[in-house]
Amino acid sequence: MTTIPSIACLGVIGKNNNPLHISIFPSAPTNTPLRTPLQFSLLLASTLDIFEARSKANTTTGGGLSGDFGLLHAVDERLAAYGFETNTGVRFVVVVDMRGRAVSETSKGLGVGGLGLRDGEMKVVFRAMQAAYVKLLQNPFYEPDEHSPPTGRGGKKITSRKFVEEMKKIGDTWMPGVGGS
Amino acid sequence: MDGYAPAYVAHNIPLLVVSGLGTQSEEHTRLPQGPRIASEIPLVESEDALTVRRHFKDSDGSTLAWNSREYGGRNKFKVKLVGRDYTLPVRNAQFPPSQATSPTSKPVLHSALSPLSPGSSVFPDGLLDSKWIEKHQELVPSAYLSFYTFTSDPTLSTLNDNQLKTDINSIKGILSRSGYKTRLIVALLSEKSIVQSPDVEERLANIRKATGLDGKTSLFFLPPQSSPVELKAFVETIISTIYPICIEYYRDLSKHSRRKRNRGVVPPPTAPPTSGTSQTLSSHGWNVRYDFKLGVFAEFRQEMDSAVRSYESGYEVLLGLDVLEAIASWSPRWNEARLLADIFAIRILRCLLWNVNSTAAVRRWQSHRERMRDFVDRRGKGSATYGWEAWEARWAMVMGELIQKASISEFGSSAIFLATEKTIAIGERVEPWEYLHHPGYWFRAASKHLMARRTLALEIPEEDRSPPGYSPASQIASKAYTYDTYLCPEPHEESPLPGREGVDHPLLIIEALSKAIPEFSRRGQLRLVQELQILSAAESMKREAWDDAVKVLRPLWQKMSYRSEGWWNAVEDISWALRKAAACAGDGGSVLAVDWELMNKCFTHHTSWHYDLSKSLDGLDTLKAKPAVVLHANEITSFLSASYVFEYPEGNVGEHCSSQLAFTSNALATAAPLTISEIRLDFDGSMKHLVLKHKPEAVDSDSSEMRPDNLDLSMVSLSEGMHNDRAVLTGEANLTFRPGQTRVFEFSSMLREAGDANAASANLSLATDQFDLEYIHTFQQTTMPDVWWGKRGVKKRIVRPNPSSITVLPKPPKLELGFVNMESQYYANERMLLKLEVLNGEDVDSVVSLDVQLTGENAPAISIETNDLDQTSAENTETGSDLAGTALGKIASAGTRVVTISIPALDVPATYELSVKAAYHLVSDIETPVYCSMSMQLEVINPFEANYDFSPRIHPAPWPSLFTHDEGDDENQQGTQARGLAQKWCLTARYASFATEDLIVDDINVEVIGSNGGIECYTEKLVALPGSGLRVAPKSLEEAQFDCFTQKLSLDDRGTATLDISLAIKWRRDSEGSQSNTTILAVPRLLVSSSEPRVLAAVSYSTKIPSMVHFDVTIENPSNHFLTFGLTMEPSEKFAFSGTKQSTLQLVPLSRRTVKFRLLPSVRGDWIGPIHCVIRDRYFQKVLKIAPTDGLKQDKEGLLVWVPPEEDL
Repeated sequence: MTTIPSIACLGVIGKNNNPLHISIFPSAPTNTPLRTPLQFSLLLASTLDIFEARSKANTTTGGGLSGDFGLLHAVDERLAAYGFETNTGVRFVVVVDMRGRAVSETSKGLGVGGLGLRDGEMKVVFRAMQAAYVKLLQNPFYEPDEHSPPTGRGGKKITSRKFVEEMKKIGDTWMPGVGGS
Repeated sequence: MDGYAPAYVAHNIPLLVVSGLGTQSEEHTRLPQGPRIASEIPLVESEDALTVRRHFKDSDGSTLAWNSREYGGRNKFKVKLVGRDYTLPVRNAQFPPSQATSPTSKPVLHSALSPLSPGSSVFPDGLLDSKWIEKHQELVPSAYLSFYTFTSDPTLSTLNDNQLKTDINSIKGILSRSGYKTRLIVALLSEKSIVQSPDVEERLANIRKATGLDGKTSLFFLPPQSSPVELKAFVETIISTIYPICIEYYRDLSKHSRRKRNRGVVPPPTAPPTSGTSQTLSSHGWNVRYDFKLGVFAEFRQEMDSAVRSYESGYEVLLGLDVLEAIASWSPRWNEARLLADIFAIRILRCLLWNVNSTAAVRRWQSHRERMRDFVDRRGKGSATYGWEAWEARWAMVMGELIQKASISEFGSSAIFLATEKTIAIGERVEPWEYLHHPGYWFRAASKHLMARRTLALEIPEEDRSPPGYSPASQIASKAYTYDTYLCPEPHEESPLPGREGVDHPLLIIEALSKAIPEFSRRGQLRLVQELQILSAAESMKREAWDDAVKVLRPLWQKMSYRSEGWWNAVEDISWALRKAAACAGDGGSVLAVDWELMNKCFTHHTSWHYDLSKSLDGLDTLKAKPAVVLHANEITSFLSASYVFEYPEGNVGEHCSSQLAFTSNALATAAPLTISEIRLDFDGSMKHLVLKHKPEAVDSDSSEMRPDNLDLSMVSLSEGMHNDRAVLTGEANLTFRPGQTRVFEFSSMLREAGDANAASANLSLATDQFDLEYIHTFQQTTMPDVWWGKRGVKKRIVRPNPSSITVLPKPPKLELGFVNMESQYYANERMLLKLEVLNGEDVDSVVSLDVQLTGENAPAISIETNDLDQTSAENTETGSDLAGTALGKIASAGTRVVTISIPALDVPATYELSVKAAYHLVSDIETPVYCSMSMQLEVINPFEANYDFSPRIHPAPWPSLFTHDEGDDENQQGTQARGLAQKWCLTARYASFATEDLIVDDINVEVIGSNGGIECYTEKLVALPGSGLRVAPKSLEEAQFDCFTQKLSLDDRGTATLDISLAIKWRRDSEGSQSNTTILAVPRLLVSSSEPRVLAAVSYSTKIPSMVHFDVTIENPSNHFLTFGLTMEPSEKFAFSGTKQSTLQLVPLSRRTVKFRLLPSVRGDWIGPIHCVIRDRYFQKVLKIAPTDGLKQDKEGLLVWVPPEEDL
């Protein structure tokens, strides 16, 4: 048995830096989440610092138009946060557990290229998250202003069952090396 | 890196001993038994010497950051400043006293630090002692720099030079005897005051020769009177010159070690080991020693690549089968070897970071940990012990400190982590952690391991925690096998029994966190800092350092970003932590503040919690004083939200305005109802503050529960009162807020003062015996529309940007001004009387005065006539006329007063602005003036316009004859008797009415205003108007004809004369009693009495023969010439004529002749013609134009004659 990276947490953070959605996924070997929901919340919040610093740097250098912020930081040896910002200021954070999923040696052939991640392996996750979010926005009953009010303070969380399921699907099915470029 | 000997972890740089400068200081007293360098020559104490000494001190490089940038400069050496004496360490160990003689062979002496020397700490099978590095770094210099004074006194020079030679040679001797290869460097400082003598060179050469020093690299001379810059340059020259030599010194040491390593023989010890084990260090162990030494010497030379190679090789051997695996795990050597492995790893990491091989460093860091874990698991006590976690924490801490010491330039900015170095292939899979993160992350990782360590330590069974003296020996033995105490304390200290001193785990964690926090905050990771502060505070609470915890948590609770960003679980965590800490620290204010916030239902509900503010302070014995808390709504997430809405955005002074103050409680359902003692509403602007006091009511709760939407609307009646020396409105209501309830208080207050007012804040105060709490809600603009609550739950959305503000307008005037019986149009030459009606719409009598103003160009003076007051009039001014302050007196309520404004008749049309302003005050309120105004455009037009036709006629009177003489007594008669030629003219005036209604023209006349050219003139109206006047419809054209007779005063005067005439139309409006007006229209200047001859045609109808027309052509010759005219009359189809067809007429001066024709027209009732009658002046050959008179018309081809229809004739 070896371990490969898996998604430990998916976070959607609104324009007001408010949490819109947090999905937590279990990690090997105990098949329980690596951290408590509070710790994951704090972890997601801590990425906001880096989003802010990077977007400031991006505006001065003019780079970073794609919205993919790549690796935000590695919290420790297992957990690393990757970020993506849409052009409406909504941010997607993927927390990867570098040893989150146990696979048997035999099935190692598929998509597992040893430890570590390449740049861009997260793109597929962000694309899926963005697609789900866009689908959510297309719902006429979803009021974006309720979730990130223009007053700049807080906002409601996403309650759409479909969106939550979609997030769960993304987190469960992602494997390193799939769809990476 | 605290646990490791400083010498092991310090960076190595060449050691330079500088002696003989300045005062006797930094006395070296250790190792007194070693070779001692001493000298009799006094210290150099000149000013230059002190400067040089200072420069050397500045060049010390032992505190620099560990990277190649820093060492590129002049700070290449570790500089040790000594006096004249210096003691080197002993090179070789002494013979062990017990074994002074050996039977077999002469024992070989080894270094005192070698495992071969009995008495050494590593004898017989140890690997290394940190003293060895200390020896090279601290004691044995690569170069010994000795300063001397170079005297300039010629009398002393020889003596002095000889002394120098002796001294230098003696030091050289001591150094060479000591066995160290330290280079002796001599620097001579010239005495300052004396002029440079020419034999200096010779003397220097002499000393050089006698001492065998290399003139370029070993002997330095500072010329006298050097500037500070030169002194500095001198020191730099020495350093840069000797540096390669010193490097060479360490290279020699490396060569020595490599030679011994390559020999591959374990040297025999001085004496075989007798105590403990008989085991000696294996050859692999020796290789580890040599590799370590090679690495250290390479570090001395700053050759990091080669150092890494040596260290890696030594590390592999050390962890190989033959060294560490071969040592028994119970042996103290085992831990020593483990420590050495750590030292190897630390030094490798440092070398990697030196070259900014960041990812390689992280990987090396990880691999060392994995190998050690594997090793501890297999050979040691396993990695599930607190000892292992302690080491893990240490290992992470070491990495953090190494990164800090390396001060990598990329981390200088706000970089979080470094990109991989160039040697890592692009596209290689790199773990996120392998990007070197800044030290904060490493310290944080260390803190996590420390927490794990504590968890493990707390699991130690109690029997293992008793101190050694209290437990049976067997247990002590088992403890030794169970617990890993590598670089950490024994179990009884790690987790002391209650009441005993031991490790303070929370303090260790707080220390690690406090190292991490500045690193994060420097890079702007403020949210992460908050997270660490939570952890730190939690540890403080574990230590029961409640004040410390509150000190961290209170600002965090106030300022945290989580609240404004809606990370409720984090807010909740911090809040509960603060509450706990504050409760223990006796900070009642914080407890209340937290309790207030936690009642919000966005937080998790704890079933066991009371959620009652009145119980918050129960059981708090540590309270220092009665807490007074002020909470601001925008600083906390309060469960109470307030809004204040005026029903209408505007109101008038003196009217009542309705407003609602609504509170919504979002408290948890189980929370106790909150009763507020008093609510104060503060307003900005012209409104009185409002105070609501609590009044318990018996009926309130039941009735409000019935409402399905949990809404409670209560009308509050207000009364004037005083509150804190301020006039306020006070009301009473039940101020109890139940969870989920929306309470609306509706007020009706009188607006007193004009201006803008807005509700600024609502202050809720809660005063109990235990505490005072004030909650301030500041009203702000919201994006959500506010709601106006009606009866029975009816809601009305108020869509205004700021519904909590009202504009109070001044009292509106109720006086009405209006003109009555206005004409639709006023005309020039007409006196205008405008009737202004003032209606008092107020409820009480008013005293009114009027201002009337007529503005416009050349505004005439106007006058006002009131019913009972005399006429007043005002001055006419250029710009307008203005009647100010015409008092109208008191007008009863609903009464009216009519004022007539009279504007005199205007001569010309004009447009004026008539403005009327009434100022009044009510009889009931004399102080407040009220204004009311109106204005009107007054356009005055001309009622008529006319055009004129002025044509000649034949004067019936005979012309005076030159030959008749009238003897009349003209002297007696009026002197202006005209005697000249008389002419008759006809003025036809066609006037049109421009009025908008029918006007009656009573009379029309022309007036001769004046004439010039010596004529007299009178006019005669041809057609009389009907007696009742002529009604002229709008836009209709009327004609009036006047005959105009002119006569020259003198017959001799033949000059041109002109006539100025005006047309006067006397008209009135078509209504009863309308006054008659006269409009005078100017007629263009008329030209009469030419001296030229003229021809006038006249027509008359025969009374005898119907249809016969007499056509007379009269030629007038007013000149003094005899004129001859040719006359031709051409026949026409339209008529037959009799008369002269062609003839010549001769006219004497001042005569006229009439040629008569009789025409018989062939048509009736039509114009006939043209009549081609041509009269030509024979002399000038000029055709005279025939001017038509009555019954004739000029056509472009000639004259036309009107033939009346048959019946008229």
